[in-house]
Amino acid sequence: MGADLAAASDEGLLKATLRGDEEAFVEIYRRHRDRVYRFAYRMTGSPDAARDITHNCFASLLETPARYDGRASLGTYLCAAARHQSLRLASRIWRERPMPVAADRADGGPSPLDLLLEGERARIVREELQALAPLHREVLILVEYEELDLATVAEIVGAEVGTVKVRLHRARRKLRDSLQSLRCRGALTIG
Amino acid sequence: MNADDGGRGEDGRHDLRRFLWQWPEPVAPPEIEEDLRRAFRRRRARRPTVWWLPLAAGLTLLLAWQIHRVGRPVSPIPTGQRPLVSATAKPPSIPSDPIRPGPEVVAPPSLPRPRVSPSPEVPAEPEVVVEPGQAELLVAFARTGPGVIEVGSGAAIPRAEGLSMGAAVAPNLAMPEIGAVGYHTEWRARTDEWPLVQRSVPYSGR
Repeated sequence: MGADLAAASDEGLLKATLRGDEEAFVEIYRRHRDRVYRFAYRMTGSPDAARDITHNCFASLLETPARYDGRASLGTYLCAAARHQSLRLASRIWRERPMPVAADRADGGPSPLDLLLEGERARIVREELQALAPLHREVLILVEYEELDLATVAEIVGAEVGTVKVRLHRARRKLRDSLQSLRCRGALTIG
Repeated sequence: MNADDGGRGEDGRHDLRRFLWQWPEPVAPPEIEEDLRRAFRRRRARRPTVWWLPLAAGLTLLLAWQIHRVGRPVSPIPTGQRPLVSATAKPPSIPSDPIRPGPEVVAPPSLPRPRVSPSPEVPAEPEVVVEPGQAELLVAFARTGPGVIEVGSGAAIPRAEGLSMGAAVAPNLAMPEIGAVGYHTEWRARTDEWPLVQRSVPYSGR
C-alpha cells in the first residue's frame, strides 16, 4: 500500500484523494510540503503565516479540486497557490513596513560580535529579503532557494520569462547594495 | 570575496547565494499534517449529506406535482376536441366596483357543494366552415318557419330544415334562377299573426 502510493503519480494520487483515500492525500502533502512551506516562510518571514498558507494550499486542493486543470504539474500549481496567498500577506506587510534608514542601522544595529552568531546572520538575511518588493522577492526565492528554472518560475508567477528576468535582476541588485552597506559597517562577513 | 560583483558575474552571484543560504531551510511543522487529516475527514463526512440534499428536494417536488395533478377535476370537454360553438354561454365578466364591493353571497353551510361531474361522452360533430356572408344568411333561414322562402317573383328556395351538423354533405343552398317555376305551394302573408310572416298555403291551382 505504502509502496504503491510512493510509486503513484501526482494525478493518480489526486484521483484517489477525491475518491476518499486519506493516505493518498497525505502522500501528496508529504511530497510537496517542504517547497510550499519554505516558499511561504521566506516570502512572509513568519512561521505562523507560512503554516497557515501551507494548510490553506492543501485544503483548497480538497475543497476545489477543479481549479487544478492539469496543465502544469501539481507542484507548480501548489507553489502558485502558495505564492498567491503569500503575496497578499507580504504586500500588506511590505506596505506597512517602516522605511529603512541607514543611520539607524549604523547607530542602533547589533554589534559585529552578535552578528557572528548564526541566528543573527539568518535574521539579517531575512530582513534583507523582506525589504525587497514582493514581486522581486518571490522570483529570487524561487530561483535561488528552490533552484527552479526561469520557465517554471514564470509559470508560477504568471508572467513572461523576460519579466521574470527583469525582476530577478532588480532583486539581485537591491540585495547586492544591501550587502555592500552591511560590509561597510563591518556587520556582515560571508563565508 | 568581492561583494561589489554581487548579482553581476558568476562570482558575485555565488557570493550572493552564500549570503542567502545563511538563512537555514525551514522545516514544515508536523501539526500541519494533522490539521489536514482532520480537514480531510470532515470533508469526507460531510460529502454524503451534500449529495443527498438535492436528491431529496427533487423527490419532494416530484411528489408534490403528482399530488397536484391527480387532485385536479376532470375537464367536461375532452381535450383535443374543439367545441362547435366557441362563444360560451357564460356572459363576459363585469368588473365589480373596486371601491364598494357588492354584498358577499355566502352559500349556506348545510347545502352540499355541487360536484362537477364529467358529462357523458358526446360524439363529436364536424365543424361547419362557411363564408362570412353565408353565416348571416343561414341564421336568417333558421329564424323563419319551415317551408319555402319566396324569393323575388315566384322564385323560391327550399328552406334548410335545421342546421344539422351531422350531415355529411352541406345542404344545397344554391339560389334558383329568377323566373323559375315554383313548387306547388303558395306564399301569402298571414294577417292574423304578428309579426307578419309569409306562410305556405295550399296550392290554389292558379
